[in-house]
Amino acid sequence: MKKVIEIIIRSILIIILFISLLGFSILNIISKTICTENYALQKLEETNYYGNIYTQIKSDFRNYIFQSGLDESVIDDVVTLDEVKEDTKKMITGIYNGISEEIKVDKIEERLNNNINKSLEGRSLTPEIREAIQVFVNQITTQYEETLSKTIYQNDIYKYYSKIENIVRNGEKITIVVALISGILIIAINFKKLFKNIGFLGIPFLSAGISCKVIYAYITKEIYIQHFTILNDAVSITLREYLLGIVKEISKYGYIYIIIGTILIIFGNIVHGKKYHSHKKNNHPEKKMKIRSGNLSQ
Amino acid sequence: MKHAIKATIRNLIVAFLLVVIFFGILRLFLGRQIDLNVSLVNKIAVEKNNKQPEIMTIDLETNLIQNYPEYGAKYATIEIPKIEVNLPVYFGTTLDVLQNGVGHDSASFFPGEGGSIIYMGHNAEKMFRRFSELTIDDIITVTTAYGTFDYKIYDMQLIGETELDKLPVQKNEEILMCYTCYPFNNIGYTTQRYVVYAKPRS
Repeated sequence: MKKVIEIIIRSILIIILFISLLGFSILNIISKTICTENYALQKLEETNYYGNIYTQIKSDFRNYIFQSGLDESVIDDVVTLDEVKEDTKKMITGIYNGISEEIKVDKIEERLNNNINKSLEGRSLTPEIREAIQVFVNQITTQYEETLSKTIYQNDIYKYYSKIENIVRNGEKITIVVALISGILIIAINFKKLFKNIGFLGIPFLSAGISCKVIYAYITKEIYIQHFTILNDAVSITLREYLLGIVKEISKYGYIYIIIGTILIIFGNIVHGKKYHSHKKNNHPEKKMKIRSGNLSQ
Repeated sequence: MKHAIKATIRNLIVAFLLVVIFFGILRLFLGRQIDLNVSLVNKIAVEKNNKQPEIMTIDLETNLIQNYPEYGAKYATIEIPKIEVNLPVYFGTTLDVLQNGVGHDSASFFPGEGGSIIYMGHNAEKMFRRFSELTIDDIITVTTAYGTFDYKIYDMQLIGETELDKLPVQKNEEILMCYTCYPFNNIGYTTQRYVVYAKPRS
């Protein structure tokens, strides 16, 4: 009866440890990636996001230049790559700090007006033309803001990010504590069979590792991250790498857990096996007889 | 050692069984929800069509074209030697298309089909800005995969942006109509269009 209770308790603890390990790995991955500003900035650099979005911005400007009737040269150098980089980083930092950052466009407006004035030098500007120029300038600056920030989505991200961060950080703490407690209890359930219990401790680790690999395989097979397309090419390329980086972390955790689990199982069972064998040897009836007869003869 | 091996194998089996049971239960209770969420997420996955477009051909007897181009695809070039225009022609008239070349109104016919062909381009310097220099009998050449078509200009008109009757789509006679915004060097939105009409040279 005692043995049955021990098995039941051990099984429950193994399941709890397995789930908490899985939960911890997922929460830790989210914490290291989505909730970390450096991860986002690193992916932006790796995928040349700034260069790509700069190209997109210039292309978007050209849409307006042809409709405006102005010379193409008026949109030359109205915005630089460094400014695009700075504004993008400002926006990302704003998201992670919960501050709504506004993109300043006065420099762009100034350069644009200078270019237009130069291009239309000597030409008399009627009120209608001045109005058309102002409309064009507003279109350009609005387009710049929209391409960089897509303000609607930025506000949504602000709203959800702090909630997610709290849940993730608290969840990490809870899962690690639960994992530690259940791990200790698995070992301590029967001190006489310490190494056997260490072997049992390997089971949830191995299961969590295999589960991580299964999740990784499912995501890479069923979700077509490589083909995600959203907003524009620059954002799409970066989003794909951002998500693939997160998925790769799941695989890494899988390997770590599998290795730990395998080592614990093999080590625990080998040591327990040796102890069991030497205990059996010492308590063998023939040996006991020899010891007794030895004592008697003395 | 035998004991250790047996125990290890037992533990490995238990570990695998735990995974199987876990995912089995997950699939049982949340399988449908997971599938739904995955298909929703995959909606933003757009697989680029790397298939080579079929070459356009024309049946000379019936004037019917095979393998029409995809919307937004380049299918021809337009040359107007008088004003040094040499531009790609795209099927469709989106902003992206007009930024890169001449747009073909998707409601009109293709060169060689015997109907109205409507092309539009911006009045930008590298596009149709010099339309005012065109005169009667000037030649416009449209080169496609299925043939080269020369058109001779016979008329030019200034029309309002809503005067669509001046750009009639009909199937009885092949007429090429190219238009752009007017005035050519206007700044801002224009309400007039400068149209050049041309018929097949032969």
